[in-house]
Formats: sequence, C-alpha cells, structure tokens
Amino acid sequence: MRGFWHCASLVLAVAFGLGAGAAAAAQSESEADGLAELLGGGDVAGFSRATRPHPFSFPSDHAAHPDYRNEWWYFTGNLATDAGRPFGFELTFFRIGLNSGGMLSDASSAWRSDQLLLAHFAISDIDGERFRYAQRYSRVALGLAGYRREPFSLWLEDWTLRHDPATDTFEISAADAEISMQLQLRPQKPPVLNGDRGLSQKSAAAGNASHYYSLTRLDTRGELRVGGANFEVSGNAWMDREWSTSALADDQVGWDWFALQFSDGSELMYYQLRRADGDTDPHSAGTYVDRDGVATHITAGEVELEVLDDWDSPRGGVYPARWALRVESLGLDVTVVPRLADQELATFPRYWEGAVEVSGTRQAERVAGLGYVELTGYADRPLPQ
Amino acid sequence: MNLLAKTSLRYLPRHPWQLAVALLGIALGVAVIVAVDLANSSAQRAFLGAVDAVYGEASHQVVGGPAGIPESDYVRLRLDGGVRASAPVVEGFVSIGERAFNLLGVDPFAEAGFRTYQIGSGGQGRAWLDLVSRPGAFVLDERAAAALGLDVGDSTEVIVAGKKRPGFLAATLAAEGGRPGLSDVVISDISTAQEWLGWNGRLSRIDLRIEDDAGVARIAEGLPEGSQLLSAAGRSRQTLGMTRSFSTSLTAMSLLAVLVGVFLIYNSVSFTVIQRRPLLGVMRSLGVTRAEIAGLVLAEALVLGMVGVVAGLGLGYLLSRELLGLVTQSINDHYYYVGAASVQLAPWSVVKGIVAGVGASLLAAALPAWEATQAPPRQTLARASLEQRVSEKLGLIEICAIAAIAGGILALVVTDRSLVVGFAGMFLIVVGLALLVPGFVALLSRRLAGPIGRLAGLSTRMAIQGIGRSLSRTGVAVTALAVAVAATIGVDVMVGSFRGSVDAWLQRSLNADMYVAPPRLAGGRAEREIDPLLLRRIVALPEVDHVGYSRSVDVVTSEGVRRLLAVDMTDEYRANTRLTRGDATAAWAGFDDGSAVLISEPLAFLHNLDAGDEILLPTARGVRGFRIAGVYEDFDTGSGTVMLNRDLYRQWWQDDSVTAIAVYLEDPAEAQAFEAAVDALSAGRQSLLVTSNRDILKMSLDIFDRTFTITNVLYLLTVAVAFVGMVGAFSALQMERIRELGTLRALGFTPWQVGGLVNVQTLGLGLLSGLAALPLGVVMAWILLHVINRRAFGWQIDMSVSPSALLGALALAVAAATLAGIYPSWRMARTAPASAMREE
Repeated sequence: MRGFWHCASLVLAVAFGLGAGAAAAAQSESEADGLAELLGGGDVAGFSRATRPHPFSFPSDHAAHPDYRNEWWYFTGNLATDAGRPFGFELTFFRIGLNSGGMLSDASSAWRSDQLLLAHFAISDIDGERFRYAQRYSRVALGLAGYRREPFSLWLEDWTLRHDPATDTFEISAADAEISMQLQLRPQKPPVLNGDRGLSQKSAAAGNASHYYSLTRLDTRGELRVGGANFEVSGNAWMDREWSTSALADDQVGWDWFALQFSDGSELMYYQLRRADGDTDPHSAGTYVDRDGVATHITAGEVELEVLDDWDSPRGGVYPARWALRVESLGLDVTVVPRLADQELATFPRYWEGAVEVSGTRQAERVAGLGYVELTGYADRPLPQ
Repeated sequence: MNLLAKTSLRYLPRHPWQLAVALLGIALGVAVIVAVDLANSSAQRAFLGAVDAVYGEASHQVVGGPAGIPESDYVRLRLDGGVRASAPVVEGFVSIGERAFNLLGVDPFAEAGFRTYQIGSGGQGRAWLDLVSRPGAFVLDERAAAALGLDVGDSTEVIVAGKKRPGFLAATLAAEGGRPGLSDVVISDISTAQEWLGWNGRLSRIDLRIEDDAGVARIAEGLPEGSQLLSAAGRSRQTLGMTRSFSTSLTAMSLLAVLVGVFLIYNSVSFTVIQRRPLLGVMRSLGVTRAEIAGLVLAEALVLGMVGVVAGLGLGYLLSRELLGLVTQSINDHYYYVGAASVQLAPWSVVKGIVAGVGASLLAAALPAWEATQAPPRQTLARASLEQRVSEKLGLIEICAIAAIAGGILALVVTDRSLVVGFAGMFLIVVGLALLVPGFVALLSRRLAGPIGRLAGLSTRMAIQGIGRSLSRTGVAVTALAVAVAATIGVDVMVGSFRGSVDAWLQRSLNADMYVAPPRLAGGRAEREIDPLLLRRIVALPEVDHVGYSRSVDVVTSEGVRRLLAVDMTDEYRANTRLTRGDATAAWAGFDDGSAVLISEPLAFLHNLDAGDEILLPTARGVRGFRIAGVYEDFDTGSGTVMLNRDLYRQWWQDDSVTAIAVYLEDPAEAQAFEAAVDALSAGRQSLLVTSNRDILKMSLDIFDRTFTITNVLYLLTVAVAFVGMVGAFSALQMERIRELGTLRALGFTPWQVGGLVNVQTLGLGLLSGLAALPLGVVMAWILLHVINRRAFGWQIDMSVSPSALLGALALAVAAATLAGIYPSWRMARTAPASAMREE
C-alpha cells in the first residue's frame, strides 16, 4: 500500500530541489497533482500490472521485479538493549521504474537508467525522546545503486539489504551523520500473502492492485549508533513487500497502516484508506496471523477504529495519536498508543511512521504488544470531523 | 513665513531660466553618475547570477584538464570516500533556434544543497522523471521557452557543437521567484549532457560542500593525477577577474562622469548665489546676520539639490537601461554568455547620486555665500571687487593645481601595477590641470586682446578682454567644458590608438587565406573540436596548399583560467608573431623542440612573468611547470594565453583534437571553391564555419567597435553635460552684463553690434576652453593607454594622436559655446538701453 505515495514523493523531491529552499506553499497542491500524474493511467505502458494472483516463490520473490513500476522493501520494528532501553527503527527501500520508451542504446551515457532507488531510515529513541531520520536517493547506474537476484541484495550507496538463502536471514545496514544501524533479521513465520493470494486490490479499477506479502515476525539483533553512543539491541521486526503498477483513486487522500505484534504470538496488519469526505474506503483491508502462522483476511467492515487523541505537528497538520481498535470477529479490543509523539519524517511529502504500544484484551484475555503505524495525508490537512 | 525665506521664494521663480538651468544641471550631473553606476552594477550582477546559477552553493570543486575528469572518480569519491555532499556536472554550450545557452548537465538526485530549481507551470511530477529517463530531455526558464515558442512536451532541435540533436522540453523553470541567472541555461540530466556533448564517461567537474580543512586535505590527497581541488571562492574570483578588467574601464568612465557631473552641479548652483551677491550685500546692510544668510543659501541649495536629484535619479535610471544593453553585449562578446540583463536598482548607486547631487549643490552654494558674507556689506554690492578677489585667488589655485599634478605623477610612478592607484593618479592630474584652465584662459585672453583688437576693432577687443574679466562666472563653465572636451580627446585618442594596434596585430596574425572551425557561440569561450574524419578530408582537398592546426582550450589553475593554444606552427604564422621579450632565436628553438612555451603579453604583464620563468599548468598527468621562452604580442581579453607546440600538448594532455585550422590555398582566388568543397564535405556531419582572413578581420573589428560604443555614448553624455554648463554660464553672464551692455547701447552701439560682441565673446570662450582642453586631453589619453589599459588588460598599445581628433574636439568646444551663446546674445541685443541701465 504504502509505497505509491513515496514514489510520488521522490518525484516531488526532485521537482522541488530536494527540499533546499523549496516553496512549501506549492507543495501540498503539487503533491496531489504529482501523485495523480505519476500514478495516472497514461504512464503504465511498458510495465506489467497486477491483474491476477502471482505464483509466489521464495526466496526468489524477495528480489526485485523491475517489470513493475513500483516496489518496496519495508522494515520496521521495536528493539531494546539487554538493559531494556527501547528503540524503534524504520528502513525502507523503494524502487521506481521509469519509462524510457525503449530509447536506450549503445551510445547511451552510463548515467542513463530507467530505475531509481530511494530509501528512508529512522530511529526512534524512546527514552531519549528523540526521533532521527535520513534519506537517500540515486539512479541505478555506475554502481551508485543497484540490486542482484541470486542471492538477493540491494544497495543505495552505503545503505544495503542482503538476503542469505542458506540461513534465510536478512541483513540490513544504513548510516547517516547521527544514526547508524546494522541488523540481522530471521523470519519466525513463513511469508503471509495479503489480500486474495497476495493480490491486494487498491481500488475498483482493474490492475489497480499490487502483489503484497509480509514477514510479520522477524527475530532481530544487531547494533545501533544513536547520537554518538552504540547499543547492542534485539527484538522483533516486520517486513512488508509490495510491487505494482498501480494508481490511487481520485478520492483517496491518505491512509492509516497498523502492523501490530501481540504478546500471545499473533500479529495483525490493517490499512484503512481514507477518502476526501473523511469516510473509510471499502478497499481498506487487513490480515490476521495466528501464533502458528495461519493467515486470515480481514475486511474493512470487520474493523472498528476510533481515534482517541491527536497530535499537532510543529511542522503543520494534525495527526491522530491514539486509537481504540476493535475486531469483533477476532474478539480483539485494544488501545494503540505511540511510544513517542513526534515520529514524523519531514521528507517530501511529510508523513508519520512510528513505534507504538498496544494493550487490551483478546477473547477476554489480556494482551499487550508492540508495533508500527504509518499515517499519511495529514500534513497540512485538518482531521476530518 | 520667514521674511528671508520669502526672498528665496520670490527670487527664483522670477528667474525661471536660471532656476531651470540649475535644476537641469543637477539632474544631468546626477543622471550620468547614476546611469553609469547602475549599468555597471547590473551587468556585474547578471554576470555573477549566471555564474552562481551554474556553480551553485559549492564550497569546492574538483576539476580536470581539457578532457575533464573520469566519472569513475566521482563514484569513487562518493562510495569509497563517503563524500555525500558532492554533485557531478557536465557543462557545455548549446543553441536552440537562434538563441545560445549554457548547458548544465546535472544529476538531480545529487543536487540537494547545491542548486535549487523552481518549476514553472505546466511541468510537474512526471516531467521530472522524463528529464532523467528520456534522452534529449531538458528544462528551460519559462521566459526563454516562451520566447522560443516552446511548450512543455514539445520536441525541438538542439544544436551542440555544430551538430543537430533531438531535444524535448520536459519542464520549465518559474521565472518569478526562481533563481536569477538560470534564464540563459539549459538544464538536462547528466546522461543527456554527456550524450549531446560526446562526453560519455567524463565530467566537467564535481561540486563539493566541505566544511572543514581536514576534509579538504583528505579529498585533495585522494584525487588522481590530472585532477585538482579548487575552492569555489577562488573560482568565482577568477570568473570575476574576467570582467574585472572590463568593469574597471567602465569605472574609469564613471569617474570621469562624476568629475564632469560635479563640475556641472557646482557650476549651475553657484550661479544662483553669485547672481544675488548684491542682494545679499543689501541684506547684510539691513542687519541680517552672516549665519542667517548662510542658512538661507544652504537651505535653498538643499531644496534645489533634492529636486534635481529626484529628476536625476529618474533620468539616470532611463539612461542606464540603454547603457546596460551595450555593457552586456560587450560581456557576451568577450567573456561569458549572460543574455539580456535588466537594470537592478542598486542602493549604493542611488546613494552615490544623492551624495553627489546634494553634496555638490551645498558646496557650490556654500563657497560663494561664505565669500559674500565675509566681505564688508558695502563692498559686496560692487561687482568689480569680486573680480578683483578672483584674480588674487588665482595664485593660490595654481599652487593647488601644481600640487595635485605633482601628487598624481608621484602616484603613477610609485607603482606600476595597481589599477586603483593608477586611477587616483589620473584623477589628481586631471583635477590639477583643470584647476589651471581658468588661469590659462585669463592669460590667453589678456595676451590676445591687444593683437586681436588692433586687427578686429574695439568691440572684439572688449569682448575678448571681457572673457578674462568675468572669470568669477565663466571660470567654472570654461573648466567644465575643457574637461569634457579633454575627455572626448582622451577617449578618442585611446580608442583610435587601440583600434590601430589591434588592426595591425590582426592583419599580421591572420596570415592564412581561410580559417575553418565549428561555429562558436556568442561569448562561447569553449571551442569545439573538428570531426577528425572530416578534418582529414578537408586537408586533402585539391585547393589546399598547406595547413596550420590549432587546439585551443581553457584550463583552470589555482591562479585563474589560462587558455592553451597548441599549434603546429607554419612559417607564415611564425614570421608574423612578434616576440616582445626573450631572445627570438632561442625562444623559437625552445618552442619547436618542446622544451619551452610562449606566453601572451597580457599574461606576462598581469602575472609578472618573463622569459626564463616557469609557469605551472594542470596537465593530464598532474600540475607541471613549463619554462617560458618568450612573450608574444597579443590582445587577449581573458587572463592570458599560453602558446605551445602541439607535440608538447599531445604529450602532456593526451589530446589530439583540433579546434581550428588555418588554410593556405594553392591559389587565393580559389577561396570560393574551397568553401563550397568544405560545405559539401561537412553537410550532415558537422556544421563548420569557413571564413576568409578578411571576414575575420572585419568581424573582429566589429566586435571591437561594439565594445567601444559605450565609450562613445558616455562621451556624448559628457558633452551634453558640458553644453548645459555653457548655457548656464551665459545666461548668468547676460544677467550680469545687462547694465554694461545697456551703457554700450546708450553710447551708440547698435543692437547688432551688441549681439556681435556677445557672440564673439562666447566664441572666444569656446575656443579658449578648446585650446586648454588639447594638452589636457592628450595627457588623459596617454594615462588611459599606458597606465589604465596596461594595468587592467596588460596590453601594450602604441599611442597615435590624429590631428582630426584634436581639431574635432576644438570644433566641438566652439560649437557648444556658440550654440550656448545664441539665445543670451539675442536677449541682450533686444534689451532696451534705458531699462537695462535702470538696474541700480
């Protein structure tokens, strides 16, 4: 779900000089324009589209699918030191295919490329109450950025993602001035196919869908450097994988995405698409995974999501900040609370992606948990009443 | 209202002619100062804007030799070196339609923090992806796009190095709020730029932002041979240096304008006070204090000054727009493509104009007011006493004049490098000589009155003597006219000598029959190589007897940009290259065997280099010293040329390309056949310019003349200013002499005789100022040529004073004076004797 919007963000970032001295006023308007334009119907020529379920096969589907326009590898998770100091992290790689119209030739410059990579990296220092993030972008050319199939690896300058098929372990690393991270992640459950056998329909239009799977619980350990100090950490992470050549419907303005890992060993993913009129789009959906890895598809009608609090971004915009989440079919009734209020990435466009805590009951039993939430389309827009 | 203030309010409106001249004088004076300053600063700003837009916020740059730097260096720097604040750039020149642009090939993903772009309407989102993914996609300022009739999404032909390439306008840059200087830049992805320019695998430079010295040292250390790290501050200093010499020549003009302008303001305002000397005397007799009179006069001057300044600023702004076009044209011709600039109101120029206008007005009023209030009241009523005092003062003025001239000469002798000191010296000498003009005129009029009177009769003699006697009024006017006329002589002689030297030099240099080269853009310093296959075919044409090859390229050194001229020397070229330093035989021997290079005269002078010295140049194998065998005559406008043997160039720069050939034909009459043959060969391959030596000579001199159009305009302005000064002087004279002339009428002079007297006097005044201007002008020309030009450009120019320049100046002075005298003489002649005599 989530990457459509980031692909647009890359385009806009370029269009506005990548943030330096850009006109903020023009941004929100162009954001919508750029999104519509980029994800609009005209540009899909030459790309494959998700029209029927894909025969998933692992580990080869961990690798890139460059015949689709957009693709992402989305790692989020809650970690802690042995002493219990908590951290959240996000590391996401986006791939964007460009339509070169088949004009590449031998006489082409080595810079000529029809693939771009973009990455966001964030660490939430819960006790230190600080959120730090960084981003990178590059075309796939000259070794500056690229990816390989077998074994799968991907790099954007010195930010890397690798999969070792022998141990089925992912290795991710990223570094910036104030933060760096090196983690090994081992899936605890097999990949979960979201939607209809991994085909996730985003709107009524045919082809406006993605191939979407998740690794809902990865045992994670490694090292963080935050503000000059190093930490050995471990915990649970989540990986979302999606590829598509898809478009948002005109009336979809943003979404709230929840990835929750419960103490009883189960997980819930739910995304709620918001429409311009404030209503929930019927294409909103989710997946419940029990402790044994058995997945159940959840539809929008089964979920009741109530906003209990909100947060004013100092950069503008009001975000929801605490929720009551109820899924009657699962007997689930929990409260979701951000572990840090400000986990907003002031990229183009801005969005909130942060670590959350969950507590409540399932089938009348107490459950707790940790997770990640993504909130988009709130910057510079008031909450619909 | 205060009674005193009323005298002012009543006096000036009753003398509208005088008021108008005073205001016009101030306005014109201010206008000239402001216009030159505004044009100058606006052109400078447009140039810097263009440079900034291209160089962005980089603190440092990695640059290479003529072939640029391998792009793998960038990848290594970024990946292995971890230098994330780095941006690769491929630069060049392209044209679309008839318009020339700087091409800036960038990686949009690395541009953060270097350059900012504001997208115009009609190009968002997708369009930017096209820039990266579609070959030939580019972005253009929306005004430039509109001027070319291009809409976003349109395809067009882009001409790169004479070859047509398909282009596609992916987006436009917003004209409003966007960065100035991008209006003459075509921005493309680095891939498109490489493909267009044939620069695959190579970069022009890498822009860097490095904060600390340790980082600088670390990066500098890791660079491969042939690349060097330069600080951006140094780089902009060098580009600034390209126009510095040009802007100093404008500043020289501006200083002259200030000089003449201030003279004029002083002149016109002081009349309004001198005129009222008797009135002030009466006021003093009636008990008005000195302080009150001084206050009155100064307040009046302040008001006059301010009104004049307002008019002058407006006029100056209008004038600056005309001047600016000429200035930018010159920059485009010689230095860098900046396109059309618009006048930017520079606060400093306005302040200059205000200070000059109001300051000179106050000074002009204060001096005569002080003089009038110092004298006993009764004495001020008599005019004769004023003349007397002025005559006495001449002694003091001459002492000042001689001191100023001595100071000026001293300043010129003390140093032979500093341009500022050169200007100061010139200024002192001009002021000193100008101070001598009234004395000179007085002396001449006294000496000439007797002999002329014997020849031409009493009234002529009276007229001539009157010139010397009325110096309190006419001295300033005469001086202003003399300085203005001298400036025209100085500029005329300078330009004439310069043109003569350049012409002679070009005639010698252009010794081949035909020249073949890819077309260069207006201002395009970068030259393009001739397609090697095409070159071989051209050289093999039957019309060709022999050929001289040359490769011209700019290299960046830590001291500035140097042009390398690698040539296969022909005998003709050698015979026509004049060595000004170094032993010719040894120099040519060193040049031929590749053990030494030759440098241009400007390079030698400006950087204090001489035969036997070494010059450091960045080669493909690192910076290396080359021995200088000699210095040759050249009129380069950049910071200098190094001429070297092409074998030596090949050895150190590993570059075999040729940017121009000089063709010596079997038979010079076959020029047309040769041209047709080259056209046939190059059609569809590369557009080549085939030019005869005569055409190049003509084109070069055209550019030369265009450059000096500014000078011509300025000196016309100077003359206009002086002319207004003359009108002012004579209108005052009329008021002064009305009683005297009335007496003459009463004694039996006819109106015609009185008018004749006045006319002879004005004519004499013009002639005398013209004569005074001749030595002043020649001295100015000499200083302009041998001090200012030499220090600014390093050129060596032989001065030649043409009699026509001197006679023309003299005629100008006489004509201005005569014209200025027509109306006053007509008025005086018409005045009834009785009313004229009733003055007292």
